[in-house]
Amino acid sequence: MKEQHNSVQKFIKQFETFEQHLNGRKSSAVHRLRRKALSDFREIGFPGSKNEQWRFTDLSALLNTLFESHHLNPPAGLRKADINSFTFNNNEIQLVFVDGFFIPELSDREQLPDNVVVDSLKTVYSHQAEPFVSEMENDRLFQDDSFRALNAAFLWDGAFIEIGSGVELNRPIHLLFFASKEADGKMDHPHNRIYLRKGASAKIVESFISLNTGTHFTNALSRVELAENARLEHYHLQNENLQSFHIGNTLVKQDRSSFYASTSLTFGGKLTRNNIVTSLIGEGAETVLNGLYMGQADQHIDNNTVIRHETSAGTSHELYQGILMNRSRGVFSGLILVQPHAQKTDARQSNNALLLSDEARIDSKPQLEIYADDVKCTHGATVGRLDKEAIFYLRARGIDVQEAKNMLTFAFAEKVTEKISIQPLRRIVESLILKRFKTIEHFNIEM
Amino acid sequence: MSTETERIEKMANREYRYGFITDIETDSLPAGLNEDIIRALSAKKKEPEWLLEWRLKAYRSWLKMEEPHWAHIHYDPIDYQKIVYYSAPKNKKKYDSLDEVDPELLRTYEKLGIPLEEQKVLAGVAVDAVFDSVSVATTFKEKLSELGIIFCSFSEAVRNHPELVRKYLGSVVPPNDNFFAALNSAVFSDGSFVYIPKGVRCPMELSTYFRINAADTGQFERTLIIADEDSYVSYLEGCTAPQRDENQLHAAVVELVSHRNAYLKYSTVQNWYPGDKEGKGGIYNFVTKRGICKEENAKISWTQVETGSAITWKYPSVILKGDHSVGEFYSVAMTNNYQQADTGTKMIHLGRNTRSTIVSKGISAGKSNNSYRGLVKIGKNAENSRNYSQCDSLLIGDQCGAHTFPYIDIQNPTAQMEHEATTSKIGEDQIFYLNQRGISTEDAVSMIVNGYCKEVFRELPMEFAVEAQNLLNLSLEGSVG
Repeated sequence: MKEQHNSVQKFIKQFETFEQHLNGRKSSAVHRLRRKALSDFREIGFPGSKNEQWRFTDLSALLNTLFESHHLNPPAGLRKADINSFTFNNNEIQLVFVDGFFIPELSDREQLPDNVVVDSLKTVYSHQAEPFVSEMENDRLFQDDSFRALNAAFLWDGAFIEIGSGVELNRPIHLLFFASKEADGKMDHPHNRIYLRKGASAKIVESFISLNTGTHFTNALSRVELAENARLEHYHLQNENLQSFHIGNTLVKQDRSSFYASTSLTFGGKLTRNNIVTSLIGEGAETVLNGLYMGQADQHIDNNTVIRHETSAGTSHELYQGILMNRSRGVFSGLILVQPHAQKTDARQSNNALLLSDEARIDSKPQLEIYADDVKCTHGATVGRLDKEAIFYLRARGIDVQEAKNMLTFAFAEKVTEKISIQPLRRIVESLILKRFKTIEHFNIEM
Repeated sequence: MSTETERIEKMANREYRYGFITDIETDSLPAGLNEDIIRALSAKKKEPEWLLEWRLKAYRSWLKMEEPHWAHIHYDPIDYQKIVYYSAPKNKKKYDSLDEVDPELLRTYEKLGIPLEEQKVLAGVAVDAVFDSVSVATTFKEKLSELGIIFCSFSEAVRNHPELVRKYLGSVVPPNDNFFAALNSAVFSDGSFVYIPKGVRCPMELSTYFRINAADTGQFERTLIIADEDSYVSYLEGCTAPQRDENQLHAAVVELVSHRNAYLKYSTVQNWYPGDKEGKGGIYNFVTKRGICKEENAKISWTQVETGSAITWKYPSVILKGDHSVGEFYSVAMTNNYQQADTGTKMIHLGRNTRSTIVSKGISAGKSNNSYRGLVKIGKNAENSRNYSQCDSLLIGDQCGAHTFPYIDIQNPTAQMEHEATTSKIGEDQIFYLNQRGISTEDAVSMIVNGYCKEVFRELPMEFAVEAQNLLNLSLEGSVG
């Protein structure tokens, strides 16, 4: 309890430093919002070990580390060539953030169609503070969650995306969040707001990458709103270094007949927690949540998803595939909530974990909470290792053990990767998987 | 559709058939709980010093504990000082034959459909009938004792076999295990004790009928069953309770110990008073049931049919300690009106090559809430362990809730774990299919539900399976359109 209190104090102290750097901007409406969020955070504190939502994830390593807030000076010296290997180079719209700062020189926003806004959030709230603040307040995002409250308290920058009604954007939007070499011991709270108006469609990729090797903390939040008939494919690729901490919050509101597909791809981070909450508030909305996570060393990867069927005829499909090696640990917790009037709901959830070493561990908690009768809801979970018979089958055809295991592991991941519709992204993800095969000696487990 | 709905409602609103109170003078302690009450209770039962100490220790740890509220259930706070912790029928004489038993008691059993004399002869079931808290009649004792089987009330076991009781009591569910187990350990009144010696196959189903009777009496049963090496026993527990307005607390503890190569099967049919259709009254059933497969090839199987109680909080568990040991859990939980059930199982795999199977079928109707909550844990050393879980929920009516909260914790890569859950209502096409063949909607529903529960029912001993089906039909019949 005392430690908890100390870590809350640490963050409050950082807030004060952050505040001092703001100088004259302290009295702005946005800053009043930050202070409100901070006082909420002070009240909520951090989730304790008894908190059911955090049962399997121990936050003490994160809370015992002191992270400094922004230095308020954009880092210099990063060139296009440095980040080339992380971009798609495929005519995409691109926003680059380094240590929390939007870097226009590295970004690419040429030839945006009409009715499409892709900008830095700071630009938007600097010009239209009042509507932004009142929307944030109505959203009530930070009243009941410590990390969301922290995100709002340290609100600085992020992406603002608005796709006007009827616009079908065929170029993907790529948001890149880099931790630079100067990011050691720092924390960053990117805040993204994504709006798709009636009938709009888009593909958005968020990539989180560390260029440093030291510990840093990313506490990202994306707010997504889909109007009637809007369609969004939303990807979240996290490949930060193995000393870093990553908390990701994705909160989605879906109106009538909208379609939202999330693909969460986690490779990096010492401790990662991804929260996705989708609310199907309009009839006939459809949600797809796919996830792939691959743990090595002593990584801890916690995926927590909530699908709220608030009204009738909603559909949701969820598939999470986890590959755990070495001493890594995975947590999956997925709730499907069907409210009393959400009749004709069709919800399916499945999560599978592959344990590739003796010390790997998985905790899985699929949950159904159903208050309507005319529904079809299922969930399935499996945990196991590679199928001996399949390995034997491949070996009998002259493929060596190692390769056979790699093939099967790759195929296990492919259940998710094959659904990635942006080819350059799919190639990046596949190469991340293959890289693990070379560097990790986990395949010598006894069969 | 609407006439069907009406008919259904009529069926669903049927009065609780087993609601009646027997007039027998009881010998009770005053309400409330403190060390003096426990001492008095222990003295009344003429217990040895060590047991009193054990109770007091449990009571002291209970004082430091908090009532758990993580389950998906809601109820008014319980005043533990208003509960009477001991009541026994006054007539404490021992009987040699049934003729000597208080005829009032016998009539109660008859109303419940347990004609002792008939069962003795026809069904081959030895019945240790627990009336409130003290065992009144025990049958077939001689036959069992020839084989060295001990089947008696808990108090008797404390008197006659203290070494066994002392060895095993609290070895599976420690007195400070949880709030309700601690409370039970402090104040348990009586219960059943079974010991099956090495190499003995118990020739008949052992059965106890519980019945809560005296008003405001908490029922704190304690059951301890030990199956020694290479033995087999099937134990049945079933219960009905009379209609009451005030909520009654029931916090039982059941401990099962299965030794090398032993097979212990425990079946329950629970039909306590669920409260009226407004959700008033009914039994609070907070039970701790746990078994341990101590050595190799031990097996424990739980089968439960839960149709009663206002609130059920119950997780029969198996600790699979011995290599190659097996745990099973088969459950049907039916809730109607305002009933709430939060039930499931825990399978803790510690030994190598251990296997467990979970089949849970929930049925919710009316305004009830029915949750499955379970844990499958495969420890670091549990090589090649397997688990298969299946949890299905059936929803009847649009105001009830069905929930599934499985916890899966796997720490060994050689483990294989599969979990499946589905939630749905009875398909209109299924009913239509049966209607087409001249089967009324009501019968169709009954057939479909019975088919849905078949996997569990077939695990029950014959006599029980029939009763279970009847109970289910009673609480359900035609509640679907």
